[in-house]
Amino acid sequence: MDNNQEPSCQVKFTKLEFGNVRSVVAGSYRQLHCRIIIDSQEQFSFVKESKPERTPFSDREVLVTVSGKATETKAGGGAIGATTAGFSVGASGTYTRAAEEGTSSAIKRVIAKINKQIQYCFVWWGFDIIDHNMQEGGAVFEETERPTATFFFLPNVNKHTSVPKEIDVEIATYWSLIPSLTAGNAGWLHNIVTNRSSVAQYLHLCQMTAFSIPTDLKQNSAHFAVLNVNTTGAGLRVNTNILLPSESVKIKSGVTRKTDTSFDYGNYLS
Amino acid sequence: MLTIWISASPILQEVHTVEGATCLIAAGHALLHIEKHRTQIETVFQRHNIKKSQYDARAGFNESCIRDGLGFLQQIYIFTTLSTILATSSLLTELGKILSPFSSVIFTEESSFPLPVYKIDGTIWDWDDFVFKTASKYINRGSTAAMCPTIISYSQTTNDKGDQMDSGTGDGDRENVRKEDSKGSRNKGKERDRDNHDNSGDTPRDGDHDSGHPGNSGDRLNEGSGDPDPEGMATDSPNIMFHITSKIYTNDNLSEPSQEINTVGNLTMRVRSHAILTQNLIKCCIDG
Repeated sequence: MDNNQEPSCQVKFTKLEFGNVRSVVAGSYRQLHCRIIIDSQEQFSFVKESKPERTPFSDREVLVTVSGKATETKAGGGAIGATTAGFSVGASGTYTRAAEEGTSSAIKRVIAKINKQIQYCFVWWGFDIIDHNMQEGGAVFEETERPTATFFFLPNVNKHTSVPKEIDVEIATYWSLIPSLTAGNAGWLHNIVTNRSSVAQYLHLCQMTAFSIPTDLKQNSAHFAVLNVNTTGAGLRVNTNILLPSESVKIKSGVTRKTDTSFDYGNYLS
Repeated sequence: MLTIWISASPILQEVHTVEGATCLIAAGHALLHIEKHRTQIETVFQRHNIKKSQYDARAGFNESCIRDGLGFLQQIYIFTTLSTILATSSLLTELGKILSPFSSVIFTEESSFPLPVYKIDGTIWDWDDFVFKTASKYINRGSTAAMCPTIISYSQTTNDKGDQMDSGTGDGDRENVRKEDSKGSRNKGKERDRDNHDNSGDTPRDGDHDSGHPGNSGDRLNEGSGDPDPEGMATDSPNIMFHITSKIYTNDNLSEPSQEINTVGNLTMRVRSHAILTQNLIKCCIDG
């Protein structure tokens, strides 16, 4: 970024890990997906560089042949078909295009299928966690898998260019009670049906975090949060009044809610 | 009982924090629909000689919509311990009618089927059309969603402690002063901003050339906290660490969470503002 005239801003994840500490086995959530957004919020910006790239499907075909356990693969079996392969191969190397320059290791580690999209002034990544162990314990991102984005800011009609006051970062992680390998895992279904009171009423939970980093930030900083939720109980009441006023929720991914929290599903699909 | 805590993260009082919010999201409306229709669901299963101990309903999201990066589609999941159900069984259509307007899936030990989703006029939704018109999609931030996902737990971190943008620690009284200060300087920043705009509009020569004009030093003041970096480079790349934990309780006494979900990480930010480049140019000129 040395020779460019435009103001720029680079946000880089230097560590990204998800964790899952359980005291129950069958009725616990597994990581399904995670979504990361880096948002410059500035319409006169463009994304100069962003990594990692989307993973091509062919990469996973390579993976299957390399694994040496090809007899068990479900060739071309759609997104979930590769899950078993991802689980069986060794853990070295990387799977992004960027990796081509770096390592030439033949065995690839696939923990996630990556989708990256650039929309106007922001970049988002969807990491579909396909490795069984990572689903159980939470995904750990290696260096080449961690999101990085560099934004450049263009002058507006007043020839005025500057970096925005804040850059937004959003990390959403999706958890599911449904195991990915349902075959040979019949116990989970019995567990759900028979343990009504001690298994969560919600099959999926999404934890979303959004924070704004001031671009004039000079010192090391932190963002911490602890949330508590009880997801069970025979008499679980969903009280829509617990919803917070939408203006207090800055999170973007489909959660910018209408101020009217009362939901009448009788007539919304006319 | 669904219990909500709003936590303020007291451990962080001594640490410089970045403003943000965290929430847990679930399919609240789908669960509400299940709760309201429990007896009807029961009647249907009874009619098909399926005992209450053989099935249960849960609320969730459609997993493909999440995996594909589309958004949230609330969905009802019916689990049965039956080994199979005939795809032609009227159980599926009967359940589909009760569970509509939500999409739903029935799981048996061996397979799963999507149930039909009915419109109010009794016709069946085309899947793509259904997703397009009712899901809470990222693409428009849920603005056309038939229903938004429910926030079941929420935490917000703000910088009201007063040490935002300032180094060092403060005691009570100074904090207030500092807060006022920072507000003041922020306003000043805005004024400068406006001045700059005016300048560049009226006298373009003065405004935003790339070589060391007063207008640009104004820019610099806007960007930074005031004192220019001696190196003239954006050497600051502060670290922002984050640690988010969700404690999930599935027992009534709330003594111990059954699961803890963590998001842990660190990121760095490097900013290069216009004025810094300008300073480089000046430096080059002097050097040369």
